Amino acid sequence: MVRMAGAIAALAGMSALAACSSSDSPGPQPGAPSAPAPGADAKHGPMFPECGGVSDQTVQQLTQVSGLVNTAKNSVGCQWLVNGGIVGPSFSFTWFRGSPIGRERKTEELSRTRVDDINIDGHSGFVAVGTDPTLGDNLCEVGIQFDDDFIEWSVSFAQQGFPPPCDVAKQLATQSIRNVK
Amino acid sequence: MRARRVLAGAAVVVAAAGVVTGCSKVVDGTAAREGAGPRNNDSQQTYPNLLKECDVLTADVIAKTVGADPADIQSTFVGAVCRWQAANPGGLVDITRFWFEQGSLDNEKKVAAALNYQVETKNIAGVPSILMHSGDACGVASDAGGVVGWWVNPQAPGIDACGMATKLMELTLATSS
Repeated sequence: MVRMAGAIAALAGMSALAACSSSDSPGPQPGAPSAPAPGADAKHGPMFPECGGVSDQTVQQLTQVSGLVNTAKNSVGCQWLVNGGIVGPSFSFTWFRGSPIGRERKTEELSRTRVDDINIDGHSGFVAVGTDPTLGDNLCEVGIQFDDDFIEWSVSFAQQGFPPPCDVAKQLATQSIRNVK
Repeated sequence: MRARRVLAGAAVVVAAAGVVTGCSKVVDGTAAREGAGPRNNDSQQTYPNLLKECDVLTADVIAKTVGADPADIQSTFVGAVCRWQAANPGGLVDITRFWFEQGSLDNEKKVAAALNYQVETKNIAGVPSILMHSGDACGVASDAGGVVGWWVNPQAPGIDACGMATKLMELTLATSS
């Protein structure tokens, strides 16, 4: 009961619930692109290797989490989960190609404890911090812009005794920036 | 952006209780304004689909398409890229959806080639598309609204990832036409 009450409170606190908010909106199709017209001449950034060029071993070392499985390695990124399942911490790299970083930042601002500017090796972006009621600041997401593209590293811990999430996310982002092709 | 674990759990509880219609009333209440704060007042105008982007297909449709029970799917990431994990009886399946409105099928072809994926050109529902093979995983990208795509990454062999990714795209194109 306590868990459920907490969940519902959190639900009410969410600025928008994706699963529910579309039914009452006569606006654009849910999921339809919201900003510029398709076919706009996007200026794409550089090529990144798979997973931003960061190995499973490096993710394990930096996060100090063992048993990670890379469950979703593909052209838009990679996701590492303990034993491949969603229970526990979660780490991911995502490469957005022709997608406004401003929208992602707004989503963060609506959802996270705080969002600040960041610059790594001359590339600017945002750093977003999420706070768990018992764990404290357990989540950090770093987005870095490359023209009309951006990359995002997401670091989310689920148990006490974790390294500072933004230190981990910044290190991962730094490695990916240096792995640009 | 990482999906909130509690949100996924709550959504399941709400759906199971059969009170989905009540949900939007809760969300549209004052809590949204309080949570948003002054700096976000314009966000709904600038980005009207904020936080709705992963809804083009509902989670239960995605679950069924990858052979999972509609109760056995969780969102793990939301935004222009969405991720879910679903439990197919053969093993866990990770699903990724992307929608890059300023992107293009040509750019996705370039990236797939750079990543050394095997790429096939095909039409899906009459829309120029590519199929991308990487191990047991399979992706599809179509020339629609910029570029839209799906990846299915099974954690066990023997799951028809390309069939599932293609079906997800067919459903997506049907929804957006």
